Amino acid sequence: MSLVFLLHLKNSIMLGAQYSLIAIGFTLFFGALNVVVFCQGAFYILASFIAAGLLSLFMGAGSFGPVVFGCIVFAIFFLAMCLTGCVGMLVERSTIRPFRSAPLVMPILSTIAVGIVVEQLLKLFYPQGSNPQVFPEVFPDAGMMLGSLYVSAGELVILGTTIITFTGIYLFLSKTRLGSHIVAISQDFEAAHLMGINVDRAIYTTFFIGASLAAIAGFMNGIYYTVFRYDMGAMAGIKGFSASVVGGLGSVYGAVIGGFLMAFTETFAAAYIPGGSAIRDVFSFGILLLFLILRPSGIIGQNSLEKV
Amino acid sequence: MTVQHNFRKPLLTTTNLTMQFGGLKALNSVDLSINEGQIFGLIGPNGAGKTTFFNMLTGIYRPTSGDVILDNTSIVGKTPAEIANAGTIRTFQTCRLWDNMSILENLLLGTYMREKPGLFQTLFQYTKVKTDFTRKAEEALAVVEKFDPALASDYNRKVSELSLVDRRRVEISRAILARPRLLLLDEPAAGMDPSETRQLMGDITKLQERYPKMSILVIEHDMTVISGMAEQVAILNFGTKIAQGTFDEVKNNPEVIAAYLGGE
Amino acid sequence: MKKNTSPAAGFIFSSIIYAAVVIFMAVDDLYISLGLIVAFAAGIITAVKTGFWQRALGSINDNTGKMTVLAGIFTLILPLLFLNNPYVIHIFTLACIYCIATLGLNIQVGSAGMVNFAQGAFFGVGAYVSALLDVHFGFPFWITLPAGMAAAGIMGLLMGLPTLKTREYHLSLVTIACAYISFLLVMNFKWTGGPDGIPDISKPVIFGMEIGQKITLGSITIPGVMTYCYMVLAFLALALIAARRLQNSWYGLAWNAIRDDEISSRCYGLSLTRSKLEAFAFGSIFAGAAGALYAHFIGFMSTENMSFQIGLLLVCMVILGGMDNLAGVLVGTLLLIIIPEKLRAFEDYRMLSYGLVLILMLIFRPEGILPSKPRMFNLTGRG
Repeated sequence: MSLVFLLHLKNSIMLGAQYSLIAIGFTLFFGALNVVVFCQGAFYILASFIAAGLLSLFMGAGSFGPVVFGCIVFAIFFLAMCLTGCVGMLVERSTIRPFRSAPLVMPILSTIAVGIVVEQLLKLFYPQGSNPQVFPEVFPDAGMMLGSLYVSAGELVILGTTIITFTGIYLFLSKTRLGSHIVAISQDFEAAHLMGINVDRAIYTTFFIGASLAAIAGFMNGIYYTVFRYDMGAMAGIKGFSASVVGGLGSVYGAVIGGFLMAFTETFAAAYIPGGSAIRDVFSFGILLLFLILRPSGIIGQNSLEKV
Repeated sequence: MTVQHNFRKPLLTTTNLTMQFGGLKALNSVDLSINEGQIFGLIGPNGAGKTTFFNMLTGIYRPTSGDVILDNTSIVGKTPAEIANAGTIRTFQTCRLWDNMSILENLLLGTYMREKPGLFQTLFQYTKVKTDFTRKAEEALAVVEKFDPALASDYNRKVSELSLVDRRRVEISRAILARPRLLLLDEPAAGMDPSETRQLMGDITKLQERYPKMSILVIEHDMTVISGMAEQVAILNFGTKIAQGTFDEVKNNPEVIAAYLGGE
Repeated sequence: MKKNTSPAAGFIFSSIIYAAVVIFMAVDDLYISLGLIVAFAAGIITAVKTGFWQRALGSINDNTGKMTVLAGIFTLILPLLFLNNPYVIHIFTLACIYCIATLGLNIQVGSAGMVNFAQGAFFGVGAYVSALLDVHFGFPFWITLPAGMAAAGIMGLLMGLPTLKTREYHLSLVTIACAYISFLLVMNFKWTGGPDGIPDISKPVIFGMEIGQKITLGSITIPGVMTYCYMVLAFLALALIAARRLQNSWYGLAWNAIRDDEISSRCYGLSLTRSKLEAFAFGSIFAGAAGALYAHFIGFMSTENMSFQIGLLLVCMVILGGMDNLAGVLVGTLLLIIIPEKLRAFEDYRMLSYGLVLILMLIFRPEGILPSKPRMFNLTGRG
């Protein structure tokens, strides 16, 4: 395999990891509440801003030994993730819960509006928020060779985080009590409520996790591309949603598969179709439309019968 | 089997009708035949597969196997709209009206399948649309008036503000306005008190007198409700037809008694 | 329904609103504009509290005919009041053009309940087709306009296809995807001018007279924008009539029915496929007309005017004004064009305030400024 091909492969894996994480969030929200949270992209970009801001504050504060440095960087990422998760819970409380029994048009619009508000707040009130931001380089300038392909430390961290996060989500949903509550709610909201499951708590948890996953994707974006801007969230969110639909909305596995499928299509079409890189998004949306026409339930999703 | 209505030809026939959801057989090889102009009762405890049966007759579900013949033509695989056009109209257990619309709008939409002004007339000869609306509205109100004159005079009211009984009346009127050959009523008395139920059943019997060629298939879980009106009843239990005949024949069938006592 | 309300309340109410709008448009100073907005808000709240608002709206509803005539006269006079201020007429014309687009969008969002974020793209298709035919082939406006409308309608049908099997979220996602796809394609094609857009789009000509030219009558100079404004008003009137007839017809009833309950609709013989495709086609024809009018008005068209944000803005207008209420849609559009224009100093905060207004509306008044109501039938001898 040529080096160029390997580079594209690496690119699509890095991108696919982000799409999948965002898509899992969509799938969890949809499962729990039957809503699509269109501001998922806002969580993604908000987390990048929080992490980048905190990191540059910390790195300007002085020099530290490598172990202390590593711990604090990790703590900052964790803090930024938790903050984003809390924003997620706040969004649920303020702009999704009021519409629980309203027509589905309402939460579509309210979450889109939240996305705009978050994005604009970042643009207007973050120092130089309307300019592209540089994500601080926190990982050592080292790496390893995989054959002829160079993989940097940051990229290894991304890979590792992806695997850990996927495993963590799987274990959480299948092995913990709270996780099983979330699964129960997604199967039958009413029944779960009647069984005495604390529905509100489970939903808060879902939003915390979903937003945190988007936050992790945001960090990855920052680490890998090193530059980000306030308006990148909307597109990331829509791609993540598309990925969850392609995979089958409601299925966590589907979200992962969909995310990587979209990333591969996009990266390789952009690379190998002449003039493709300028319209790379057309290819990923093309895949989405194809699925919606031919298989609206997605790769994994099953056709559910309508209740009459 | 009674033979008293042999001279009428069958309108709807189902043969071996089966519906399987995953491992669960919601309906198991049901054979049923309804004649023209007949009121037929389909009775069974909750979860017996009655609504599933309706969903297959109206094309919402596609049967796993078996056939549904309406007037010598199989309707399996047709869309609900095509089946409606073929003359099968249903009501819903949960009373599915168009909730943000008025009584009259709901009733008018019952006549949707009849001839109506097209795009050209809508845009360029609007008076035709108006006269069409007025004519059909008069007819619609005449139908609903038979149930309840108050409903007919309050025709601009939103249906979401109505009581359950009134919603049912609007729904049945809407169905009548579609001029069905086969009217399917899904638990029309659900949620009503005994006197309201009696009145409704009386209304349905009157319908039969007014539209003698229309067949009516009524679902009920309470046997006594349709005792006076259905000339034939069939009993479903766990997806299987366990008895059929006149009400009196079926009433004393030991299997039926067992189903009801054991099923509750 | 009995017509027992006198038109007086509605008459006074409309006149006050009209006066307020005229004053607001005439004021140029930022702080006075802000003060006026606060004063209007206070006035509206007082009107609602004292019950005048409800009485006035009731009166307007009961006297639709007279009120329509009144609104027509008001609108026709409006540009004349600003003979010396062509910029105000320019903004008003823009607002009227967007009104045509939102009337179309209302068919999808309001009547049929399909939240379509791609109306901006259809606006763009109409504008680009009309502009390209004009710039490259020299066709007159009266050919390029219908061509733009037809192209937008065909695009609408095409986008309708993937929405047929989808509902709610998936449907909105389809429209978002289509909005991005068309934006990216237009941006990257060579023959559309790419990011540079299309300059020098000519003005329409009627009877040898070019619309949008300055006219001098003795000592009075009529600004060019005025004639274009009246042409747009004529188109808006046509669009309004078409929208109203569609709404109060079997089409409108069917759209409302599939919005309220798809299963029930199918069981009464309504074809979801047909109704949805019709909603998309008709709605995008309106957008195409608006786009063409826009391109020839400004004389320049670029992808900026067909982005996803435009689609989003159009949806906000419909929601703010009142879904499935034509008057509401017009009010929402005018507000969201004119107020931001007056507050240009806060240009940076425009998107933020759109977002906030949308959230607040959804929470506190989801039905919009003028909520929709069932079609009122007047059957003689009844009621």
